[in-house]
Amino acid sequence: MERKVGRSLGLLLVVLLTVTSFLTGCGQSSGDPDEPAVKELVIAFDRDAEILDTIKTSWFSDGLIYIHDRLISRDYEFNYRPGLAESWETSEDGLVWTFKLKEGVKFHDGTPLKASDVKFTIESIIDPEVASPSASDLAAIEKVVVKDDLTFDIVLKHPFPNLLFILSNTACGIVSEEAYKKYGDEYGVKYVVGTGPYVFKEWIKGDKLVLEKNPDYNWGPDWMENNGKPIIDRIVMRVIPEESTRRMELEAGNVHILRNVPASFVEELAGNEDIEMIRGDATKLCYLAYACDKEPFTDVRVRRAINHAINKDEIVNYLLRGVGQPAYGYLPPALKSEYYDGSKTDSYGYDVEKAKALLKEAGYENGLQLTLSAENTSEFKKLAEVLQSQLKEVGIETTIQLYDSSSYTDMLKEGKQELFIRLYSWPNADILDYFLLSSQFPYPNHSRWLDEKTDELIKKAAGSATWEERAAGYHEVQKYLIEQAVWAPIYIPDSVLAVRKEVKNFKFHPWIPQYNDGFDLGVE
Amino acid sequence: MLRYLIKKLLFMIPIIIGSTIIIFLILHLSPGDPVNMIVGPNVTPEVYENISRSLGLDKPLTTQYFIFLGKLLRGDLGQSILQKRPVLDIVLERFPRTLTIGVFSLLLSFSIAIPMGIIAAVKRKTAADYMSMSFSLVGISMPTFWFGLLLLYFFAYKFRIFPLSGYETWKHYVLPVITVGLTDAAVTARMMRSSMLEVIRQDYIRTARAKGVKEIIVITKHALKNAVLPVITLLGMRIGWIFAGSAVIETVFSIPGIGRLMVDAIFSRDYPIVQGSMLILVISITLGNMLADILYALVDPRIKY
Amino acid sequence: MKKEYQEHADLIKVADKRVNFWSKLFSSKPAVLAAVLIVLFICSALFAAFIAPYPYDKQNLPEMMQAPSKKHLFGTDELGRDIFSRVVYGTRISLMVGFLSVLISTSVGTVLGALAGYYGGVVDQLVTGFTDIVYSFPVSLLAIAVVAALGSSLFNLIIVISMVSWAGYARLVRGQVFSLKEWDFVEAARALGASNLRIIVKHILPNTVAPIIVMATLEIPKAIIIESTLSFLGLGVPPPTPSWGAIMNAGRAFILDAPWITMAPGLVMMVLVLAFNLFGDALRDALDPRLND
Repeated sequence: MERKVGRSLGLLLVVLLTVTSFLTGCGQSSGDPDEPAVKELVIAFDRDAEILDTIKTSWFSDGLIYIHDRLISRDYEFNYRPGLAESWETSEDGLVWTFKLKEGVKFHDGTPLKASDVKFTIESIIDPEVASPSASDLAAIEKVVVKDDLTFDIVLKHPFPNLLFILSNTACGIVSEEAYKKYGDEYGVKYVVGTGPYVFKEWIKGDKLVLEKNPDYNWGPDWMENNGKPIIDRIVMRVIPEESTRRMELEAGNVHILRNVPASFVEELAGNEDIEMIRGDATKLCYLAYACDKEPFTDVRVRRAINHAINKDEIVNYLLRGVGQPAYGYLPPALKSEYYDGSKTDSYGYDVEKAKALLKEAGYENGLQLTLSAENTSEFKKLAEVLQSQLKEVGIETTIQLYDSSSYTDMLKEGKQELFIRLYSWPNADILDYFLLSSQFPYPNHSRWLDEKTDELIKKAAGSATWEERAAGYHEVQKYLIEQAVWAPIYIPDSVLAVRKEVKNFKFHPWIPQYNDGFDLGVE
Repeated sequence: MLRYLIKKLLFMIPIIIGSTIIIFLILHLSPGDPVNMIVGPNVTPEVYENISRSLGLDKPLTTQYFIFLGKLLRGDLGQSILQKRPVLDIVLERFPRTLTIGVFSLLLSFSIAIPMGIIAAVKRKTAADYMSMSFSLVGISMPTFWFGLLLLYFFAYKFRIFPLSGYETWKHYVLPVITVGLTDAAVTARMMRSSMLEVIRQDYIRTARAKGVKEIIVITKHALKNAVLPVITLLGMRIGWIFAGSAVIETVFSIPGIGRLMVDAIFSRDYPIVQGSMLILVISITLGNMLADILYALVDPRIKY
Repeated sequence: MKKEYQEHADLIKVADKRVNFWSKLFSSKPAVLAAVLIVLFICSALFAAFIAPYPYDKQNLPEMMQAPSKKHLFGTDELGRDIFSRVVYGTRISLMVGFLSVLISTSVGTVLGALAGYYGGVVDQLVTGFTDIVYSFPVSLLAIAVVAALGSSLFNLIIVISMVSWAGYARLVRGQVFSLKEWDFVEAARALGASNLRIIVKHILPNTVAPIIVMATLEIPKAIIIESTLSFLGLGVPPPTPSWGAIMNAGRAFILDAPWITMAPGLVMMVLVLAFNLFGDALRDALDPRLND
């Protein structure tokens, strides 16, 4: 009988050994002391990429931005500047855009960039068979015509002054046609080939994405201080879902940069002398929306009352810890020329009495019972609780309903919403087209706003021949939307980065840090 | 024995089919749709339809299920909707991390709990008993995540002894294993104690004692083997609990294991991943149960198959 | 292979020792302490409105994230709400989750277990098979899937927790009934023409009550912990309902700057859970005649 016990112990031992050998096997992969000091920048993220293929995903990992270059780049003032396209011109009727590519640009596999790669990238996105999630953005494009190796035309279905914006987006990072076809299903998982300053090295899903510098890179945009090869040798993008763990890793020095730092950490981290906090305007907007085709929101007085009921300053000061600003209009001011400057003066100030009066006028002096829906994240949960208590002050009782993001979208599509919280992140005025045109009903027009005048104003603006006319047109749209109180804008969060002092020559960019632009890493 | 094992293995089939049906129904009947997660907010209905069709989500539910089952029989768990990779690859890449935590936690748990339970039972109503039982009471009264957060805060953040996140070296596993192992030891020690108490009250133990056999021999030679039987039986259940708790522990210690994978996939409605990870968990729990049965048979001479 | 092990297998002999029971139960100091604590918690749940110094949803943003002080015994949370008040109200939720889910799982488990044990055969095989599946299935993961799918509400949480825990009762009751039905008094009742239902309800079940109560007492704290764990994964009750798990989950993001938001409800929960466990142990000891030596 003893032998039997021995056998069972032996079994346990075998399991133990197997697991140990696995563990030590893992241990070997970390760190080789003989290697020369590599400048390795570690950045922590809350979420990993799904697939590293710009054509097939809509969740754009930062990695995709450094692996690829785009035809158009955006400088530190957020202006459109040449990227892979050296120059471009528009035909008289605005329907044909002719682009000229830079010379001497090579993909990471050594093959030269050709106009046919651009054609492949763009036409793959708009091909219904490919079913790219970005297809809607490029809907205005009819086709791409290759003229020679470095020249091509983009032919549009209708005038579309916003083309530069679309081409500067991550989705339009130019991929190598040859590599894309060669690797098939493994493209975006094991192989990614672009022309960007960093080269795909290794990706351990759920853990980290490693990029190495492109030693041949010398086609960086003109507006960069350094348009040659990057100084930082390697970028490691780690996935750490817990926000307090990300912060602890930053404080411990294992992570150099955090993007989208939660407002509640800003004050404490600012007190840490090893860490510099960098703040800038974000192109985001958080707002309370409502189903405008349902009672009581059909009444503009109720919509205005809700606007008056919200104490934005309190929310910005306490919930956002001052790391943001109140939103008055429908676009963030960071959009500059597209933003309507009269937003604040036209908007509805915090005024409980006025809100009550408006509700009374609309026939709701006995109060209202509504549901308030939000996505189940700590940020929106808190905001929902604060809004609940603010709305209560004017006699609107709410029940909070939380949804995970997928069922939230479904709920909005089905049109079950009453009051609901949304935040968009989009650096262009065309976001108003997506959310408010009646052709977008019922989704993404989830505020269920069916209004001919809005349609007319937006179509006029979007179809303008020049950027300036377009901007002026969108000002009209914003003015009208404020008047109609279609949403209750709440706040615009700041974009906050926490950067450790080892990172030298950091420059804030309104979209994303351009690590190849002379960023360095000092070893302390 | 062999026949018994084969029978057990066959019993896995209805469990696996049952569990896939349950999970399939829950996922597909619940609101939410993976296409929402693939596309951004600014999608046209045509694009949405195209993606839905390319994923086969436009087919009737039963057809979708039989397609899934058909592939499963050929050893194909399908492709992740969001990652566009074979589910089997994704799951196998992550499973070792979860398994490591599980196996070492169980080893830690049993190596603490069994001696502790024995001492507590043998030295009933002494300081040793009260101390170990207080330890287990506190252990079972703490949520695992709470204990894990405490350990992380002190031993990784304050004292910087262990890493804060990741899984690459053995050091990364110390805190998660302690968290799971100690909370689990609390449960097992209580079980071991009551089982031991029961055994030492049996006649044959009294006889042995009366015959003047040394107490240590009585306990280790005669009582231990019988007392440990019920604990082994529950080994299978403990394995189930540990795997089920993996989602929590992997969240606290930022380990990309299978529990976390599955919870994330539930939220993003990546159906094939949820099914795949559920499947591998069910299989490993069943195998764990079988292991417990084998151990039981080895320890208990009365069992004949 | 007969290996079903019941810790409480012999408790059926307890019937004639009832007199002894109360004095025995309260002769143990921890049991008294535990009982007092449980009563205190029940009172605080019932009279939360009188005990809590502030309403649980009263926000005071300028006073957010204050450390514990005389004004706010457990400090304030990220919306300036008094955590002590929220914890007091949270007792309601936790006890409700604990009692209701145990009530449901006990009922389901007892009925199924009794049917399986009494009728045997196909019924038994079905129930046993079902419990076996539950045991070899990561039920908590299933629970997560269900809550994620149905949306989280107090009701859904209670149902899901019951779903996770009924199988234990079914096994316990099945084993008990299985051995009880062979006893003389059951035979006698049958001979007198009693119906099956009557035999189960009147003669068999009363004799299984003691181990069920012990098990239930020990399951309540488990239910409370499961609730907090689901909350930790973001699947708890919707705000502003102050369940302990929800408070802890909200505080998790501030664990470095305002640890009290997570720690205070955690400690209180530990005390309650400990009290139930202590009481359950004492109950078992008092009901177990074999420990009389």
